[in-house]
Amino acid sequence: MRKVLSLLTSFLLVVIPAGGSLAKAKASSAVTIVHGLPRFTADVYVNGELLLSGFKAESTTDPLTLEEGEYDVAIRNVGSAPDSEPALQDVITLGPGLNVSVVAHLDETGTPALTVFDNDLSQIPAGESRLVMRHQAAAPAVDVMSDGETLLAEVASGAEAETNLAVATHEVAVALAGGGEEIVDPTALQFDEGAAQVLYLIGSAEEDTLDLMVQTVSGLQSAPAGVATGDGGLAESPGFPLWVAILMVGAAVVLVASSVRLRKERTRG
Amino acid sequence: MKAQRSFARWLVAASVYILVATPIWWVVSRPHIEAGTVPATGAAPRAAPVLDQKGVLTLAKVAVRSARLSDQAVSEVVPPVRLGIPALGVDASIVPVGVEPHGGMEVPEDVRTAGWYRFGPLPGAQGSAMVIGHVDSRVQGPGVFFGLSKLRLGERIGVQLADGPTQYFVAVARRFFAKDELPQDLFARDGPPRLTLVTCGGGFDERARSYTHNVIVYAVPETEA
Repeated sequence: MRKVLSLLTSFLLVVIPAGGSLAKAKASSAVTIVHGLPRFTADVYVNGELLLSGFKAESTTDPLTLEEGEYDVAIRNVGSAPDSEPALQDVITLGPGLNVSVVAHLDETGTPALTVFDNDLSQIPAGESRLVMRHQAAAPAVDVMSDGETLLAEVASGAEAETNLAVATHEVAVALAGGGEEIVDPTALQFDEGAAQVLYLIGSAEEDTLDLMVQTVSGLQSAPAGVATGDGGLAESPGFPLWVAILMVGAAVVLVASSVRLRKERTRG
Repeated sequence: MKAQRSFARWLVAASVYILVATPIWWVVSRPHIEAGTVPATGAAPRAAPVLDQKGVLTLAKVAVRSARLSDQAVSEVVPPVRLGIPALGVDASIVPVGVEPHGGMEVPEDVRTAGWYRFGPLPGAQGSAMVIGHVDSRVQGPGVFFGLSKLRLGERIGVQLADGPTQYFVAVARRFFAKDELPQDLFARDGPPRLTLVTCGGGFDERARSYTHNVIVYAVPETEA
């Protein structure tokens, strides 16, 4: 009994701390920084460290890996002293296992702001692509058009909308909601299967700096339901042949009959 | 009497032999489809965090790209047009195939024509490219991949792209999967280049007029084999 107890104790001593430290291990997320402040070249600081210098307007980073937690993000004009007043500063909270986009942009009043979007990682049906619209500009609500047809209607500043569409190169355009004036001319954009094209309307209507930015989120494809390449049956793997089955049944019958016969004879003899 | 008894003994021995030997013979003589090692593909694991545990930068340079709509490239896909497998006497044309409305993969009408899954990678590009072919058809007879399950490892497979060059692959593995259990990595878009040839096989369901399994041959670019 004592032995069992001491074994149990040592087991608990070894296993529980191991489990505890596992639970504490931080899960990371993928973060894409999207620069949607027009006519502004930025230095990007994360927790006081200079992450990016000379980050031009209308560009994005590749996805960066960050552990879950809180991050202090500060954006300064390129070349400004690290301790100078930032043009934009915010604390963002990052959960585990996410794919997020952190967007520096003008809000509907034209004030610089930092917005975090959770990217939709749900699978796209085989053969389709996805369009996501994020209105991140100081401008009225807009419609998104694809090949001349309205695909997403009435997307207001700060809002997000999405839809799936056919895999192809589509002419994408943005106009003021309700059949208004075109803001961004039709431009060819390739929509690949299983990938989302995330569009950002950025800039300011007043300052005539409105434009569309694109971020691609890939790896959302699903597999086709199956590959059916034959209805002839000529290449069927041989099953158990009938004549072999008959032979075996025959052998079994003979076996039983002969052993019964042998036993009878033995008892008789 | 004695003769009868020894005959009965002989019958017992013979039937025991038949009952034991025929199942063994059947198992041994079955065609063996599975062979070789499946080459790995798929996305690389996620990169190390940007900041270490003390909050110090671990990344020297962050990759940046223009996200302006007008800067986005529109690529013209050059599809594969011809497939050659000398060991099977296959020299067939390839057409791009997509997905049927019900979700299954499109299959070429003509059983002598192979299909390239156009939503996946090009043969030779990053990821797992797929070329499918009929094993047979009730009406048209044997198809382009009738002999695929017997393709020996090490045999050469040539794929010609529409703009001319032929890329050669070497068969490195054969696998056999139930139709509804196809591995997801067959459709990987990242990782080392890999070509898979897919057809039907296994048992045949007469009522559904369909095979129960898929036969898959995995191949890698010739220089790597």
